[in-house]
Amino acid sequence: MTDTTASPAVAHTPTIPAITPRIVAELRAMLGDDGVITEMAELRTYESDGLASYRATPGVVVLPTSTEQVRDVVRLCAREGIPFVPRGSGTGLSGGALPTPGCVLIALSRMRQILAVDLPNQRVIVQPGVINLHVTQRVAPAGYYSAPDPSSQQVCSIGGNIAENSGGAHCLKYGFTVNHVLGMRVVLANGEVADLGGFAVDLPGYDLPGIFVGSEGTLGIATEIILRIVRKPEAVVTALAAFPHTDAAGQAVSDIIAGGVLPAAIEIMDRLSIAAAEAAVHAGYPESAGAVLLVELDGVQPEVAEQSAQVEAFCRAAGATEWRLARTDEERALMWKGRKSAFAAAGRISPNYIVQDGVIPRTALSAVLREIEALGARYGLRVANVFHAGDGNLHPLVLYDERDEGAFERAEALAGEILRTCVASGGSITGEHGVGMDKRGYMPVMFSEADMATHQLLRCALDPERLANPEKVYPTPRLCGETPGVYRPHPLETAGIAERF
Amino acid sequence: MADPSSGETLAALLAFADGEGLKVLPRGGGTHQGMGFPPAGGDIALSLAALNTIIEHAPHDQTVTVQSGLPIADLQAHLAQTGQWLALDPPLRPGATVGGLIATAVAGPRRLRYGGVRDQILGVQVALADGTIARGGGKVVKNVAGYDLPKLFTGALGTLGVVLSASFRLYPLPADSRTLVCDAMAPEPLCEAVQTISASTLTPTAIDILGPVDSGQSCRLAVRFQSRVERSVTEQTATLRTLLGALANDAHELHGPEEPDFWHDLDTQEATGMSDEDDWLDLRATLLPGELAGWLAALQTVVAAHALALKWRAHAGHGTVRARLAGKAESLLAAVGALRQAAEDARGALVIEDYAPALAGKLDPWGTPAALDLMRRVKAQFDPRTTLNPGRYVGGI
Ligand SMILES: Cc1cc2nc3c(=O)[nH]c(=O)nc-3n(C[C@H](O)[C@H](O)[C@H](O)COP(=O)(O)OP(=O)(O)OC[C@H]3O[C@@H](n4cnc5c(N)ncnc54)[C@H](O)[C@@H]3O)c2cc1C
Repeated sequence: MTDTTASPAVAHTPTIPAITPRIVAELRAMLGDDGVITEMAELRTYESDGLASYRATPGVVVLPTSTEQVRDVVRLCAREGIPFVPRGSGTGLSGGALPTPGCVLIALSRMRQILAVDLPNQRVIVQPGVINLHVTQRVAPAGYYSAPDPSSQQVCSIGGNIAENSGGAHCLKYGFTVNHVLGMRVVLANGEVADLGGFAVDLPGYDLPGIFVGSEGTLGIATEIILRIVRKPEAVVTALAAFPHTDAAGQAVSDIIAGGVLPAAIEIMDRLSIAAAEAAVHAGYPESAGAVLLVELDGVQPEVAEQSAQVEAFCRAAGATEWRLARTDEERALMWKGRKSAFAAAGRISPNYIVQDGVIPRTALSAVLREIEALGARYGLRVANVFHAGDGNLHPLVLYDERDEGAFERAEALAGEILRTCVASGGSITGEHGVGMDKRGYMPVMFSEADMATHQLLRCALDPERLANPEKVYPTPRLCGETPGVYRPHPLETAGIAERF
Repeated sequence: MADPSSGETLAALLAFADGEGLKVLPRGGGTHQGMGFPPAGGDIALSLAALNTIIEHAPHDQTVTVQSGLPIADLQAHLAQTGQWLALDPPLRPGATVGGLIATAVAGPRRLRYGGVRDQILGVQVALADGTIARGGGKVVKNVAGYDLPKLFTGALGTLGVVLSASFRLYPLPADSRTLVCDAMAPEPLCEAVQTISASTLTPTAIDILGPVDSGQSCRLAVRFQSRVERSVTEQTATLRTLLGALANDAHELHGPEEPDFWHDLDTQEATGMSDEDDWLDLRATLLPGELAGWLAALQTVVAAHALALKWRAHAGHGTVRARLAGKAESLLAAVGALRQAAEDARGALVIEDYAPALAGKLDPWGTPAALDLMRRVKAQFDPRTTLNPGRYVGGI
């Protein structure tokens, strides 16, 4: 019934209680007939997320419409010991919403209400299924927007953004999802409903919203989210610079940042990804270029004007062969369209591809790109590069053809080598797509056993039974509930202790 | 008092204390030891003073990794040599360390533009009570691998473990600064002005309201513009004058050396307080920006009703008010109750950051967060024998 392909780490396969007709009946009573899916053909729709190489069939899919319904479903899961997996729009690129075989998949796509908009305080409250872009669309007439803008923003959900701590092109200046979330209502794995954080900043107590964001659905389900919105800037300049090679583009980025300019966004695409974008959306990128740099500056008029002149000078000095300013909103949108369609566009130049998400210190850019090129040559595979250059977040696209014998395995191995290279340069295995199922096998490249055991104390605090999205993020679960050692009071002199060290 | 010179020694000391049931009070510069409840026990004062090196400063990556006992002032002086800074400006207390800043997460005026500690910390290395040394996060500006340990330890007041070192992102120092200052007879018109500024496209780095600035109720609005582009600063100041209308008639502009001095004085005055007779306390209310005027009105009323002395400073753009209240102990306690209620009714919170020793044990510095029970569960996992800073934190954690 299920087939989970090519997991990079030993799967943790506890025996999962079956979804019996009695349980289905109970779910139907909670959610109504249209809130419960059991048909195999329909279940198949939910068997993978944006990472289609991993597939598994859930035991049942439920579509709650309120916090109470989520709570009731989770309580039932807790009572029966059945794992559950939250799902937003299913665009995740790390297999985060991949069902645990036989689980209850809780799809939040019917929780699509924007519950409150408070412009004077720059806050909105949304349900988790709300589409990222819809928040901006709702507040745009009043001159506001929601800053985190993943390229998938037309379809991905706020709940998914929360779970992945999603970024986007503009997070260099404006921060990631976590910097814009103040509070949330969550359903914990035991069915408890809790309010984390709130409306104001710096509230007393542990930063639980800060922990929940980025926890990839492993600590519970967010059902209401308090977001900050920001004022649209007075001026925006979007420009494109063409370079003969990514090295030169990378140099321009370093010079811009070293010059004290903080662009809203600064993106690089290499020759292959330019070709792909052109084939897909005809963004008008100079096809002969070895690299394209996309820069956006925003803020007050005089600052943007002066800094765009500075950026142009930096680009020209680094060897830009062309400098183009978007003169209209249409031109701006077109420049961005090429970049934002980069992943899908890879399909134009290759039947299959793997998207990676490694991060490096910005200064390691040329060295790492060269290393990636060499690795690609060694594996006999092409790698297209698109990246958030300002924060060193690379998206190497490993291109392969699954019809070639062993190509998928080679592509996966190459993608893994690339991640190791990123970590070796001082970076990370993931900047915004999350660890999920895909990269949990690489967590030990970044973290020691002690590190991961320590992280998972949080899981033990909030979900000791490991029911919430149990297979994701960490390769080996920490056992919870080791009873703390016996308290042994000892009347030692403080000074005496200090002498020992 | 223990003063370990390496993370390993410190961790071994913790493991020993934890095994023996000894209570450990970690300290950085000792500038915030008054924060929270008085500790419920303390066998070892653990100084981080010897862990004070800059491990790595990568100017071109705009990141830094430091040991937590490093004084903030030393770090900033080092970073300034390359035209950078850690964009956090807590009230200045001599000797305050990076570790103390992480543990208390106190924020200053420019949180408006740069965010707080939680928004700038990239990674931590911590020692848990049982001696485990663990890392979370990393040293690059973008990273979502694993649970966000750096945020968990930010503002945790050393109750989950001892931060040994931390990485932060950095910003270029602004080249130009200008501050527009204007006064009003009461806070309301200034709070209204702040709402107008927030709804505009201006990008101030700080918006403060200070009160009282004379023997009456007069307050002062100070709006700071900073940029690497001079015209940005001058033009924004001019636009602000227009926005403020009549309020700006008597406004004056600060630039040149007097400008940073103005802010520096505010940051230090705040820390040194104002009264040596009477009891006193320092509170911090965090509010929705739009609720500021209402809460400040409650502050005036409550202070008058209880015959207390008052000095306050609001980082109005992000809804944070710091106030020192002085007077009789029982009046202070009553005032805190009323003001906390007012803050919570407005969907905010109120914390006592410091208080006269005579008030110890008589007040709850924290209030009760909605998720207190979850916080207890987190504490129980990280420090099951309550070895670290016992009793000081929310709910007596
Ligand atoms: C073409 C394309 C471009 C992309 N570009 C970007 C980009 O620029 N930046 C970026 O960061 N990402 C990007 N992504 C990745 C993806 O869109 C984001 O990770 C997004 O946030 C996922 O949202 P979703 O609603 O699709 O979540 P899903 O894929 O459904 O789920 C993602 C994770 O969130 C969990 N989850 C979902 N809802 C909840 C909830 N309410 N409570 C708790 N956990 C929950 C799931 O269990 C899963 O672990 C891109 C993806 C695609 C396909």
